[in-house]
Amino acid sequence: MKNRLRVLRAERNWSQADLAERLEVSRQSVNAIETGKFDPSLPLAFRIARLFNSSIESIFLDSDPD
Amino acid sequence: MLFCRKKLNPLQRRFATLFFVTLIATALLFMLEVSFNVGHLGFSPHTSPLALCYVFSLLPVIPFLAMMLLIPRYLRQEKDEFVRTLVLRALLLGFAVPMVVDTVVGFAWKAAPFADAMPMFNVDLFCITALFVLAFQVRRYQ
Repeated sequence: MKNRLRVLRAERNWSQADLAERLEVSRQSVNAIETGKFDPSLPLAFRIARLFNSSIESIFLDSDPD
Repeated sequence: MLFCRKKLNPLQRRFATLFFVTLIATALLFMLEVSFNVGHLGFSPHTSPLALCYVFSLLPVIPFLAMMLLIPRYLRQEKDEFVRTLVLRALLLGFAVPMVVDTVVGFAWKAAPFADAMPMFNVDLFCITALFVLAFQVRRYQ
């Protein structure tokens, strides 16, 4: 699943480690989510959305809308 | 890196320490078993009472049971779902490799004289495979 996590993080000048600390996950998790290799669970997606004051669907883009 | 102690959180550090303790216990018991089987302990399976043979064959179960208690407890407490996924994948492959090796060697029992001894290495093979897979995955997602 594609997402705008890297862009949102860059807008705030946060490193992957900064974001990981804020989300209370490992830096590897942030990296895997950003590169689309790992899709976060719904609770983690909500935590990410809350952190960026956005909705889940504005961060995570459905690659298969059908 | 996950295997660098500085980067581990207290839960992961405790799990890694206990995992290594059980791994060392497995290796020590394995050596004890081999010594018993070749008669280096002063008595051998051929001359010992059957009960003693059972005791010695059940000994390696102890660290394995400890590991089976340890792993679900760690997975329940690990908050990072990605790390949980990596550990689960590593454990899955850790189980798969000994099964495949046992199956292949089991079918080749006539050609492979060491086939009888292979199940003795199952726990060691499981631990080593799981650790290598975990290390490989962590490196992959650096």
